[in-house]
Amino acid sequence: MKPAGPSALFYQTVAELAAQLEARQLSAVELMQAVVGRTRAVEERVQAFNSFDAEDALAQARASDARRAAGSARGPLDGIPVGLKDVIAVQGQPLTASSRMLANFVSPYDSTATRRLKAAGAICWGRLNLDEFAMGSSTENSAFKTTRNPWDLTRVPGGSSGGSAAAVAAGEAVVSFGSDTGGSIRQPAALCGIVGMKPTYGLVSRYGLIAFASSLDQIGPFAHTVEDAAIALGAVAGHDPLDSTSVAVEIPDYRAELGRRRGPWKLGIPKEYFGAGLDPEVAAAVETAIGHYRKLGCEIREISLPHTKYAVGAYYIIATAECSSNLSRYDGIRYGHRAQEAKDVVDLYFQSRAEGFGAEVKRRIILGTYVLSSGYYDAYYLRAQKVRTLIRRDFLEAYREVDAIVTPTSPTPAFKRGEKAADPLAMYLSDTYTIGVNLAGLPGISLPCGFTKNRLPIGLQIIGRPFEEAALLAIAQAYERDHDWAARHPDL
Amino acid sequence: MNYEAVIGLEVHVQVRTKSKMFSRTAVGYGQPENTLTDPVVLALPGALPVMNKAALEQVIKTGLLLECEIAEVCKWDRKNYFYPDSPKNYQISQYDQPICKGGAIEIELYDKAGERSEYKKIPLTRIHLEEDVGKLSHSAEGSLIDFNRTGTPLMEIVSEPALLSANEAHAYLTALKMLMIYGGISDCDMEKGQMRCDANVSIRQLGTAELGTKVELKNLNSIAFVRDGIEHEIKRQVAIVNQGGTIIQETRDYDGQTGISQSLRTKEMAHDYRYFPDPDLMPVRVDDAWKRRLESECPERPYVKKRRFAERYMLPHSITSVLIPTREWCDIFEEEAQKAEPIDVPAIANLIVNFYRSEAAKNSVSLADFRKRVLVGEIAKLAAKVRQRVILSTAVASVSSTMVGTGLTIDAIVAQEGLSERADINELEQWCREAIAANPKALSDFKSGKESAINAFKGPVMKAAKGKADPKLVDDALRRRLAQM
Repeated sequence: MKPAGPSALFYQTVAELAAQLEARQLSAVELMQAVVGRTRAVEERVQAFNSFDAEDALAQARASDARRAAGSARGPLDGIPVGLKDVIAVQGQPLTASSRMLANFVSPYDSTATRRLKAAGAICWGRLNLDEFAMGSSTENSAFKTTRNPWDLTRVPGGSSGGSAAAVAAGEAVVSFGSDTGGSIRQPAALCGIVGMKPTYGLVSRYGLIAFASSLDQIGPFAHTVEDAAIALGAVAGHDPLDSTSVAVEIPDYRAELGRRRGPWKLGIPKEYFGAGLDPEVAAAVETAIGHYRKLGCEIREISLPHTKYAVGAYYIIATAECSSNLSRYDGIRYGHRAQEAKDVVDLYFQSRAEGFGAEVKRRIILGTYVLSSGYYDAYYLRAQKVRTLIRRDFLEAYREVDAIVTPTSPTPAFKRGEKAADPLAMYLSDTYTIGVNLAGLPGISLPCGFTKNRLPIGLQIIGRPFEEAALLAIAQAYERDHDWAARHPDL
Repeated sequence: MNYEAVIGLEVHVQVRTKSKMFSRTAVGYGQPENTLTDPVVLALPGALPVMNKAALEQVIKTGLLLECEIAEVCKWDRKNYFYPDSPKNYQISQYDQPICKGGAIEIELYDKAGERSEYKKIPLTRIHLEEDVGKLSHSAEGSLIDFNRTGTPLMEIVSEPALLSANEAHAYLTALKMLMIYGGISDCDMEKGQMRCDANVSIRQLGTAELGTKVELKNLNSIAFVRDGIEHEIKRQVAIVNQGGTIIQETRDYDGQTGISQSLRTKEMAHDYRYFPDPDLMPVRVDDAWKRRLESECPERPYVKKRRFAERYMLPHSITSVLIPTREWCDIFEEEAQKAEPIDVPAIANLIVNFYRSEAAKNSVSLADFRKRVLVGEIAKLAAKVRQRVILSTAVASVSSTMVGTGLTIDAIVAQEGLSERADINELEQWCREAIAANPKALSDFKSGKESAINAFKGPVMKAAKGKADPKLVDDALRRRLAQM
């Protein structure tokens, strides 16, 4: 582990880099060159990217420098290389979802998040690997490559946004964006020792995000610091007329709000999140972090989220039901993988999808098709929706007493590649602490809170009230301010 | 044995809007293939639907016109099935909570001579909104898909099985089409696929209440084909039952050109559509204020108007049956009627039905532009001037033609054409004498009691008068002269 202190350009924060860019001590091209150089140096070991286009990125950097020279720079993200999970559409760039199905697909349009990032001057840098169609917790389900955890290349980076987390942790991007359906931002952030945030459902437009489970998916940022996460979130948040599920709420200046909110806060510790299956080293680190909040004057209360035990079950019914329908469009007719030897149109569907989708995607399509089938709908889907309501009610009930809820992000630190790949249930359980947040539509953040004896990062999850991202970020930063985890980087 | 038919209709109507049901791309017909598309229409990865509020309003208006119960919440469901004309491989539709429930369509049934009609209300089950699919075309080289129609707002109107004959089905579609056009909801042009009809047909013994096994007829692409197809199907079913057979539940395709139907699929192949609420679309609340505003935009229903016209203006069926189907002509008639002496009102209706409609068509003057040519009150004035004999009835055709063609007022036309000028009575009597002298045969016929022979003299007199002779005065003058001979 490298100690805290001045670090290489590619490990500096948005806040630091923006100040240098602003002061003309650094150009966007120099920064981009540093990130490209770093990527070329470590990517063979990390395998975070499905693809990147250094020439295009440098052209974007030159455009950023030109804006700044003309006095029309667009804010702190102007000239910052931002990596995007390969499910977020960028016009003219590949959009594969790490699936054979879309191996050759190039998006003809920008997602709303992309459009807003471009408007903020960010450089859309590379296509980051993921579990195919965001289904998985280890990035091992990618059809193209297995991303490694930069802290231990024999371990997984988590998932599904493993590429997005690994790229930031390895210095291959300054910040990145992923999507979180059941923990796909927070869990890899925890396993890779960085900050990852899932906003409230409806805060960030899903237009142009390849859907896994529409009622759960949210785009969110990865960053080294809470402040960087606040800057990145602010660039993409806000109502979008192209997404009916996006909510028209006032978007505060999250970065400015960080300085204004000082606590102390009432924090709830849900007893259901500290039971069997929680790794003792993770438990100890989280307890220590909670102790720190107590020292800061926060009131710590044990709370109960009684329906937690039903979350994983309800999640895998709702998410698979939605994905079975969402993925129907990948049929080999208009774009994407098409089987060559099909006899007729039905055969074309069967073969194209059989060849185009991987095992986990097929498993979930089959499961989702089953739970929506005539005669099973009430027993599965409808009941899962009722459970979902109860889980949300648990949280909202807790928020009458506390400002935020503090839990571990993942029950274990990064596990070995292949360790759970053959056991879908064990893999599903690694999302135990993150799934409830998606079912309830709440904002959640994971930030580093220590390391195991084996030098593996541990993540602390803080869950906030709906649309109170500003408070959530401030609570996270109150801890971060007194620790130097963010300044530590893996040896690569 | 005597049977009666029981028929239910499922009618798809494309709702008139500027843009598609769930995206901003324009709707249209006859455009180059795949030009009315976007990421949403093509179901590209990541694209999301956003509801077209105007389409929902059109369906709520339809529901109000048909006296349906309007749901408080508009909820969207996905109907999952794979087909190449449906890019998402699910259709966004409404499953368990249609936007309209119940209601009824009033239909008009004529007697055999087509002179008298009676009305009957056909109850509706539901109306819901969904999105249309694309069009497939097949050739030896392969199959092609045009996604221009994909995502066009489409409303499905489902009747109860309450129609008892092919004629009632015909009257139902006629009434529905008229109502849709009145409400500005759809043009219902079946050739353009704006209205499409499937019919569920069964038969039962006369006097029994239980429904027989139904057969669904598809691809009935004109109102006449619907009638023919249903008649054909009823005969087919009666023949089967009379020969001791049983009807199987199936879907049949009726070819209107050949008059032959064939089975498309039987019930065993029915789909499980795995309906579930679309998580991409939030339910939309339909509050009372919104409903009231839409209600205020609803026009008077056609058959209500027809009865009112008969009662208030004493218009006969022969006139209303022409006037009523076109709301604009009804409005033009009422605007004129308001400007007119009550005595002229039937004549105004007559002028519109017999002259102005054809003149507008002949001069390619659209109904929207009609009032640019024919100012409000001009037809009433024409009727009054004919009554006052300022304008001769023989001149009405040319006056209405000039008015629609040039936009001149009636006064200007009268002045320009000298229509109020009349032939001198002495000249008129001279022309009469000449006409009688020129036709001794007609004279002898008349003398021997053949009354109609007088008409033979009228033509030459009218011709000599160049339209300035009042036919009644000519008749009088001829009779006076003939009486002297």
